[in-house]
Amino acid sequence: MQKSVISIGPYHPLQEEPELFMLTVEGETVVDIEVSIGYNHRGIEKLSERCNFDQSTFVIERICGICSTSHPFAYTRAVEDIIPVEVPERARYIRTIIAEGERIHSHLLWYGLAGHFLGYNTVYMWMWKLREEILDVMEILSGNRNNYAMFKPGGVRRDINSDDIPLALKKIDAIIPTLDRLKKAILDDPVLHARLKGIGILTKEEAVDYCALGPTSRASGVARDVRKDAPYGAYDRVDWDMIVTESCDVWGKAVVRLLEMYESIKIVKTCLQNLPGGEIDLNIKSIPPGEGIGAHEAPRGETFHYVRSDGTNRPARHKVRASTFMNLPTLKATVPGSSISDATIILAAIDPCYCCTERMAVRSREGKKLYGGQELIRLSQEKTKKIKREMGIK
Amino acid sequence: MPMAGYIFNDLEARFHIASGLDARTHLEILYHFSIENINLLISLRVKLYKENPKVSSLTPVFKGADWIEREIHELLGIDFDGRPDLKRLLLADEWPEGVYPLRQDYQEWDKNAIRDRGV
Repeated sequence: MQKSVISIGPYHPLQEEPELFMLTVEGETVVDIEVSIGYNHRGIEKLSERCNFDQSTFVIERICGICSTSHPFAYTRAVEDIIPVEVPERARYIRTIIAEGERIHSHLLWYGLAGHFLGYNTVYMWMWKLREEILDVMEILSGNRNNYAMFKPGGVRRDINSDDIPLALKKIDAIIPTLDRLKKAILDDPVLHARLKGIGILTKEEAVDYCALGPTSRASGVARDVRKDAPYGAYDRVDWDMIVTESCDVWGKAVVRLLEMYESIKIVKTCLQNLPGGEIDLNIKSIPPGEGIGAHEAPRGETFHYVRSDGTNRPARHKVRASTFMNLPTLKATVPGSSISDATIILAAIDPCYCCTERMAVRSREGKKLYGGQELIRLSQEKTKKIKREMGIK
Repeated sequence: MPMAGYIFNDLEARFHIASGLDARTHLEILYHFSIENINLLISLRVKLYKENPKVSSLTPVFKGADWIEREIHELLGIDFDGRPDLKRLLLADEWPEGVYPLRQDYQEWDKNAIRDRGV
């Protein structure tokens, strides 16, 4: 049979993170995938070596717009590991609140886009509407909707005003009924079960082999979460559960993200209610020579920072490992064998900041264009409609 | 490599990442592993001479090492033995061969490029 190569990406005007996926297809089935990244390589590790320790916090906050807290969180922990110091209790709680709020809105964003790819535009609208509410809460607490700029080595930059806490709690409580309704709608929908179960299988062995992280690995039964394994911030002061499913497919990843939002809401609420008083910053003056490692469980998986100091005011080396760096190669295990209409959602399932999934184009070997980006989303949405018809659902 | 294989397979450690760096007198790679159940973080330090740096690859042991070895190869110029291909991961296609941006002696090869905005 004639093999065709589909290229997905690399640029899309709507989203960040351009990447290029080359899918080799035989008829409808994907037989191989090649992932190319590097279209957005900005040399931030090198840039960070030219900034002092405080400036670096701002630079790395701009690595990602969606999880803008995860990198400063891991970085500040790495710097504190060099000295070493323990941050004040109140700063630990504030850091946890910001990080978990970010997880909720990041997962809501994923759900919205996943809904759109599957032809569930109602889910898309509802989820993004809910996300606005969370962004409002973040604005009340930190002053910013994104890029909160709350972190600095040794503590946090700004305090949470205690007058704002009741309003934030009220807003969070108002979200829960809507989220409950959406949870029921998603978990009880037979079409979604038929559409997502059994596709994009990443077995437990493969997840370990590829060193997958976050929801991608927890959906494959790998019970690893740095918040539980080596607690930091206020994660050991709050009661919460790690969500692990064994189904290994896209459905499992969706369920992990859905239930994690509830855990995050629980953590944010408990932290806001029990926010201790005291200092928020240690006012670190200088960083001694040494090496430090910091990790934080970002919405997409663990971010990992290694910082080496030579006694000057700048890092001698700053290594950043984002979670998608380890999760993207798993597509080599999950995509081959699936159909083109499923590839859209499998690529989206690891939450790679979707940029390209909308910009797929199917080309034959001679370079003739078979499908454009819109057609591929249409293919994916039509499959959902077909399943609906077969089930007799209008 | 046998050591890393032992840590990963027998101790069931998790591989985080490898950090490559130029310490002026030599090159270094740190392989970061962690064993969660005893809350232990292990960093294996490999020191390499600046002339012809070469180390055995960990990709045959676990696939998670594939991309980071490609990254270290192009940014620091360290060769990895016993793995299929070391094709480019992050740098642009027009980036010249043999110019490694994370080396301390790195010189701007394209004089017209605006890379440093003077942070």
